[in-house]
Amino acid sequence: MDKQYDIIVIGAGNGGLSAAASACSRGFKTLLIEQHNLPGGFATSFRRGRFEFEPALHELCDVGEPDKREEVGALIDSYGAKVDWVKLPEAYRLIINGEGEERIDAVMPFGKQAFIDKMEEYVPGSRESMEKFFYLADCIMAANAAVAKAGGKADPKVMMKEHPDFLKCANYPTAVVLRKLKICSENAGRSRFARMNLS
Amino acid sequence: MLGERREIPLRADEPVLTAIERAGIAAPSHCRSGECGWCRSRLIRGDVFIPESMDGRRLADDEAGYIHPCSTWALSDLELEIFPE
Repeated sequence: MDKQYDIIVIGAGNGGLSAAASACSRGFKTLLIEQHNLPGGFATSFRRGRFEFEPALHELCDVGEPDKREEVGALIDSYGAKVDWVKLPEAYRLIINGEGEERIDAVMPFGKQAFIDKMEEYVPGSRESMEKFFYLADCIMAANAAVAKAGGKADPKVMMKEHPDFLKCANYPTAVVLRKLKICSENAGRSRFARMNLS
Repeated sequence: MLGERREIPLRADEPVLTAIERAGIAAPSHCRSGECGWCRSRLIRGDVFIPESMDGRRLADDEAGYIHPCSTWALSDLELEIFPE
């Protein structure tokens, strides 16, 4: 070990690993120190008997494809890191134990259109609601991006002009919006007290 | 001491950890049965045998060349990096 470094990083969790890799890739002489005998921090896996437990993320989003990287994928590429990417086969799997019709085992794919199509299979007639839902999700993402770009101080007039549908639902709790879209039942999101129907 | 290199004799019929301790080196260890990972060391060079029942390494350890010397037997000369406390 030398006595002089440009950058010293303490801790080799995800943050430290990223900082050190980033510093290295920019040509800084970097020292990374970790007290444990392996890197990873909270993202360290461990063995118990014949199982290996992975307590970190269950999935990493924003990676993208090799030829079309999203933000996180591009960032990790910029470190020059050699990563063994494992593609998840499905977006969600929901299992609810029950008898007959109460039992649910639903597998939802990635991709907006595929998701909507699959949902229509499981819940015939849901297509219209699902399309509205994803349209609103796109509106929310666009509005969030606009507010972020304006440093958190968006001009209300600009918001009203360019993001009207976002504003229509922005003040309501998610459960209310989902009820309006007929995705949730009348009772969803309501406390037990509210559901007592006191007259 | 960090970066110190030592050459020690190894026997084929005892775990690598035993050889390290026999040479007077205080290598870290805990369960001495392969499971806990306390003795995790980096195998730089050489061939080893690890009984399946004692292989408590993670998938990444195996792929990145790390062994648990307490449950590893040498099949050739080895170059090993240990991480004393």
